[in-house]
Amino acid sequence: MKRRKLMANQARSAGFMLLLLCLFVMSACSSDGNFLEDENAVSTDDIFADIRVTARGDGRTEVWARLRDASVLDEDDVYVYLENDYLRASLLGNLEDVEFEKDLFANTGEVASQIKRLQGEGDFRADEYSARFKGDHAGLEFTVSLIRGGNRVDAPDSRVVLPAQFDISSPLTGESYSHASDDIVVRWQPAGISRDMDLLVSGTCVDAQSFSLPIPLAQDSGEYILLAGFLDTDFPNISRSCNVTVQVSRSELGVLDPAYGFGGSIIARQQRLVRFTLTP
Amino acid sequence: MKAKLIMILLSLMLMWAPAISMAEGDWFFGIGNGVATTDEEGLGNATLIRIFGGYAFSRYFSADTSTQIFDRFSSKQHDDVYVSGNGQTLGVSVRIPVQTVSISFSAGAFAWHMESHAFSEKLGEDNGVSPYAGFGIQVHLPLNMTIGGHSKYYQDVSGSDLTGHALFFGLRF
Repeated sequence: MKRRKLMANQARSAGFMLLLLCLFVMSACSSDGNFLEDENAVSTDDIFADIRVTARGDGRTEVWARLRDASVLDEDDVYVYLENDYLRASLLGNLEDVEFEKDLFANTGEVASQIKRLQGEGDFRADEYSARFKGDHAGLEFTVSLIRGGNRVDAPDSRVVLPAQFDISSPLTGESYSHASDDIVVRWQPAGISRDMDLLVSGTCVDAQSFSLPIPLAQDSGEYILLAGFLDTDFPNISRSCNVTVQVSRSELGVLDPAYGFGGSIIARQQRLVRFTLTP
Repeated sequence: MKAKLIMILLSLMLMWAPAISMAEGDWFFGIGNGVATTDEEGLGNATLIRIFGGYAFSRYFSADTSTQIFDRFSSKQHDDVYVSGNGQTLGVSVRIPVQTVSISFSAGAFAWHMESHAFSEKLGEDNGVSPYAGFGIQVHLPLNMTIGGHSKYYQDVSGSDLTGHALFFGLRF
């Protein structure tokens, strides 16, 4: 017991030290306390790219990206801060392939909504960049480009296609289930389309305890059953009076620009949520 | 009937116009700065720079040429996507002098070159010749200086009608 308390204190001290370090070296940290590297110090060859394109069923799609300096061998991840370099997302493919020959004003006005610069999140220096587009239908192709200044190499052509939309028909939002006795059927339509489906069951319980349970699915069967007592194995000590969120995701892996030397991924997801109450 | 009335009024104004500054055989040139608009709803206004010069054949008629620079009709959603361009006008003006002020009406041809950009990439370019019409008001100052304003309407510039308004400073010699 004493040992656990000591470890907790050490962890708290380490967090405090990191915060202090961030305060002293403001430029080295993002608004959420991650270590940042200036874009000039990172070659594209050293970057690991994490790019996510997410549609949540509200008619819009968010493109999110974070670049990590993978050449740094450290316990803490170091992310790339973009000042003059930038990330942009396009529904027009690679802009080098776009060519208007007439009606420039009408064409330009129309495509403006299909090309966006990813903006840094937060008020301070950002390590996460995002943009939102109208539209979330299946087959919508996003091209995400890293455009760099000076002699640094661009990574202009990472592409991914949005997978098919779906709806969750069960459970219904606001319903209440007994953890001890109810099997909870999670059902979505249409099914049988994608190989990459997963569930994330998470909850915030009355006594402020929380859980997060990722469940990768072997197939897109359209149904998954959370058996009665499903939390007992992984979270035996939490309260059963919880507000639970089930997030169902259908994913499609895209093709990352080869200029990212440490690779990464570009993934498009159709994501749907349903919330219900879990009682003991 | 209306046209007749306008003609009579114009004639009276010309007849009674007292001392005017722009005289026969005057060369003039100047530079103006203002704003240009497009009828494309998704694009905002551009900065307009106008450099002009010409020759006044009489108190009432002149020929002029001007270079127009349109700096960025940017998308209203974000300014990374825009149209910019430039062009050259060649036209004639009719001037109605009233003391040291004159009102002018102009028309002619506008040869233009427009480019569409998104970020650093060029999405397209277009060239053409379009008609334009305009009007202006000038105040003639001592030392052969003129100040005033021009408005010009350019029809069908790469599928869009443009309007440019500029204040200018000019010299006569």
